Amino acid sequence: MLSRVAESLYWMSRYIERAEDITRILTVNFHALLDTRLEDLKRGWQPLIEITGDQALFAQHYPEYTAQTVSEFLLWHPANPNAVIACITRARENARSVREQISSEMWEHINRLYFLVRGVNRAGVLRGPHEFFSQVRDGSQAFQGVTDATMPHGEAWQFIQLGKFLERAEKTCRILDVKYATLNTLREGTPEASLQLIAMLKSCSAFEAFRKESALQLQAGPVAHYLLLSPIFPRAVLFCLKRCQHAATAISSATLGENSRPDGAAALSLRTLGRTCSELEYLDIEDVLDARMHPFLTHLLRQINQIGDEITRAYFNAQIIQPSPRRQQAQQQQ
Amino acid sequence: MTAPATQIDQPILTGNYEVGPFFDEMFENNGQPRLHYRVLYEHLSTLTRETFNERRRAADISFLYQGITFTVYGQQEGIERIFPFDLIPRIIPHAEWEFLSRGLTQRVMALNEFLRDVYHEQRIVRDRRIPAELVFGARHFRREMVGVDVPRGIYAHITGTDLVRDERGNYYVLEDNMRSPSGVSYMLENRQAMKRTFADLFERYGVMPIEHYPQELLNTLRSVAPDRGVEPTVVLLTPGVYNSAYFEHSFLARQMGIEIVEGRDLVVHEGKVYTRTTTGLRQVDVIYRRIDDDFLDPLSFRQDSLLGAPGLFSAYLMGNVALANAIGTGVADDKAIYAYVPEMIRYYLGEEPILNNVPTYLAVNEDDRRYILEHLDKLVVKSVNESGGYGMLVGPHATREEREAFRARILAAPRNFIAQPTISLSRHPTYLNDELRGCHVDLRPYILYGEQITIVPGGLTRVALRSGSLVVNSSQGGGSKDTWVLYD
Amino acid sequence: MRLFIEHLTTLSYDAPINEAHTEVRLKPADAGGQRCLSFKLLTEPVKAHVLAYIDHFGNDVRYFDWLQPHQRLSIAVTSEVLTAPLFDPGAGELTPLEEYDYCHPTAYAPADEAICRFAGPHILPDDPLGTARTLSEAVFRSIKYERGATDVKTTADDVIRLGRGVCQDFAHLLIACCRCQGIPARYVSGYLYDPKFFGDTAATHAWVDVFIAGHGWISLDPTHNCEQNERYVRVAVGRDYADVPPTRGVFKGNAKETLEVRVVIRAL
Repeated sequence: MLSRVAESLYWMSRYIERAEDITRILTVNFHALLDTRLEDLKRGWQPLIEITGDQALFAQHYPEYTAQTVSEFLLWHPANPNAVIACITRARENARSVREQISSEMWEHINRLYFLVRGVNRAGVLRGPHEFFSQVRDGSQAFQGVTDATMPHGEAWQFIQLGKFLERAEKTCRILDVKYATLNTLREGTPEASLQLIAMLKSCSAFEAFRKESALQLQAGPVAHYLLLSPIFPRAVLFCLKRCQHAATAISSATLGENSRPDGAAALSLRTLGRTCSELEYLDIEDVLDARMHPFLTHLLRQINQIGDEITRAYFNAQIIQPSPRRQQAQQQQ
Repeated sequence: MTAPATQIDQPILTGNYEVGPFFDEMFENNGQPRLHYRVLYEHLSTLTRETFNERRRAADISFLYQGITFTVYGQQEGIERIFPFDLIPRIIPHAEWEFLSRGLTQRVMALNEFLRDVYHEQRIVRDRRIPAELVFGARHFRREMVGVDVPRGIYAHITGTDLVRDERGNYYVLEDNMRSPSGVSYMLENRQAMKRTFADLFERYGVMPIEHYPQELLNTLRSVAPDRGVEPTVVLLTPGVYNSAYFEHSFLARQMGIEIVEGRDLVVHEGKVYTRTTTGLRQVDVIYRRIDDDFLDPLSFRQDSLLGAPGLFSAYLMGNVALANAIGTGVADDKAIYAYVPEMIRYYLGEEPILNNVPTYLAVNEDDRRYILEHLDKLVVKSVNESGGYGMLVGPHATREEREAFRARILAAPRNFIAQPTISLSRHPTYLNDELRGCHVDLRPYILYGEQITIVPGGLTRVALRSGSLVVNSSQGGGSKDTWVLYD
Repeated sequence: MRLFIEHLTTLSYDAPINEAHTEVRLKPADAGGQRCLSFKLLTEPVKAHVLAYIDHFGNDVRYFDWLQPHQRLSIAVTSEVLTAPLFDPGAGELTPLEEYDYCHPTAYAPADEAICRFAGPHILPDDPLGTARTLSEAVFRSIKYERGATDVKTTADDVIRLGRGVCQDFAHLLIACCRCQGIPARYVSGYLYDPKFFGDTAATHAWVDVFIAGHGWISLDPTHNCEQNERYVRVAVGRDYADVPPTRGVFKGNAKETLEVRVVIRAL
């Protein structure tokens, strides 16, 4: 497969996932804050911007964190490269550039989603966002479902998996990181703390699943354990990284042997993935609770970024494409 | 604009249709439908606006969701529009098509001979049948191609020839697009949409198929592959996703099952062209390129080009890769060279042209120039190197200032301009604002030249719409129709 | 005359570049009575696979690529040539394309007013050969040979304005003057063997061929006010410098380039 095509599939997938994750975080916040006292409202919106890591950019455009400013920023502010609309646009641009690689159904779904977010009545969304949020979520999930159902599970599909799960692992880490910071300011067992835990789980679509594991208490330790280490919940970090590992292995076994990449970047990315997975598998959750959570997640996020970089180097056009300058020429001057 | 509610159950074809002082494809001057349009006529006479609008809306939405769009620039972000599509098909009787097909074949053969000649012996110039100035001064003449033998001697693998009809219904060739003619994807998608929308009509007419075009194109491309003992690898080279014709590039690549590549996907090594893949480099044999000569290779042509691949031209010279169309075909679609196509047909083939040229005056010739300048208010003046309706003066519709501006431009660079009498293009009933109106049409058939010349029956009928479709307005005011060539 | 030529081109970069593609026009031609006895092109530090083709002017072109990142590339060319005691004008006539190309202005040799004014006083009616020779001498007398006054991009109209230049500029000016008189003229790239040029002062040379009906090509050197003789080595011809640069190349990367050329010519 063309390196550029692999890269586009990977990013198409990451951007769709990113759009869905941001939308879900917004949804949960709208719900959660309905039960919040007025003075806590401001505090309730700021963490969303922290999750995407865009505080500085946000501050350039808005004086304060409100439902309206944060939603606007996360949904469609033109300066925000990670706004939902920007993500879906870029996912579609990537899909368009590999139109012949994906199925017609995938293309139709991503188009529909694109025209949905482009054409939506923005004022209406800010007044009552829920329908729009669920449309975006449904659009993304339908796209992912159609992808699995209509595309051969070969090399192209594996790059899509890689993108989706790496993005998801990263977002779960960030949600944990931010929500945990708030949680650490609250006393365990208070209603506020419980609400935060519920919001954290819902941000990862994990509330119902967590509840079904009847043995688990709604406390910081078990929740963190579930979101980090569940081997069966599809948004848990370990689950996602395992899927990445699976996809990366499939890709490299298809390409190895005749692989002419001399620097062994493919092997490198596999090693980092493997190491990160083992680290999680042998993790004692008690070791990373409370104040230790943030440093641990920082470390984990760094690993995830490194995996992304190594995949880029192994399979994509790693070199930056520069214009081709013409060489100098010598004057004939004797 | 919607029709008053009382008319919604009226048929879309009423007695109000005006043929006007034009050749109408569907109606005789007395308002009677032409023989080959009778079945369609009866059908339209029973079809209500409501039903028709419903079908039209369904077709538009399906185009939009399938991304059958082109990009309009000039605003902050490119705006995507569907290419407006009119559901009333244009119908061509079999015998008429046979005639066109023979004429087009003859024309493309002569043009290809011309290309082979000007890049080798230049006999036609030596014999003074066409001025050297016109050929060698043409912007798209590629002197780098002189003496280069291309596979099978074929330069113009894909030609899109624009045909129009005058008020008496005579066909004329308006221009031959020999660089990378576009629009064929609309031809194919229009047919799909018509089959979804008017399956019943297809059953009553015998319409010749066009769906094999991608396979014919692939055969054509494969026929020029260098022989290296393996199945040839064919790729389509696109300027990229932001190009306005990207949909078509992607569509054709998908239909042919070949890879679509950008310049940055290609690398030339030791005179061979490769794609960069996740498993390393893979050799390419044929490039169906949808970028202009200028941008193919920054080493040999425009050095600021990021769209091509450095070294590509040397690989081409060494015969290690084939390009379709060949480099340098642009000289044959120069509008001043166009005037000499009938002469080429006589010179190379010893035949009389089957299809007429539009009479053409070359500003570079003194007599012609005087005539042009004296009749600026009656002529259409065209810049020789531009297409798509740019750089054009339509005399009768132009203001005095516009005409004077063109006079100055013609005097400054006569080689760059030609003029033709205005032709009142034929019209075709087209659905606009809830009724059928006559709109001007042309026809672009696609001629493939590989082991032999192949033309799928019909082509793209373009129609000048004055108002747009249901979803969006087209910026250019151009739309298209499905074109039906009937079985004998 | 038998001459040995060594032509070393070194390209260095302050940061790694990659995907370099290079074209070289340095092989002495087998033309005008001259014969190339041997020719060798070597690249350093990696030996590139060199391909060859003949361009549409009939020049020998060597082409190679080097895809891996690198910061230095040197091209060492050595050749041995038997020059023509007298330039052989060739018989025959111009092809239609040559007639067009060698009579039309180019970017280096435009047909502007300054050129026509310069050429005006030197025209001999109905005597193209005489006109060409007089023009060559006029260029020689009007332009002062001076290195550094012009560069590789200088055009003929600039040269008139500056009144100074090197052989490339003399050649372009003469070509522009001949063409505006309807005399076909082409640019010749090559070498001139002159023992007084050695070390840093040795370089490539450029002069002019004009086509005179009935005579064929006449080869004039406006820099030295003479015709081509046995000390001249012809390499390539074209409409102007842009058609025949000794090296031409592109690369990918963001780096500052330094170009060094060293030429040694010895009589054998």
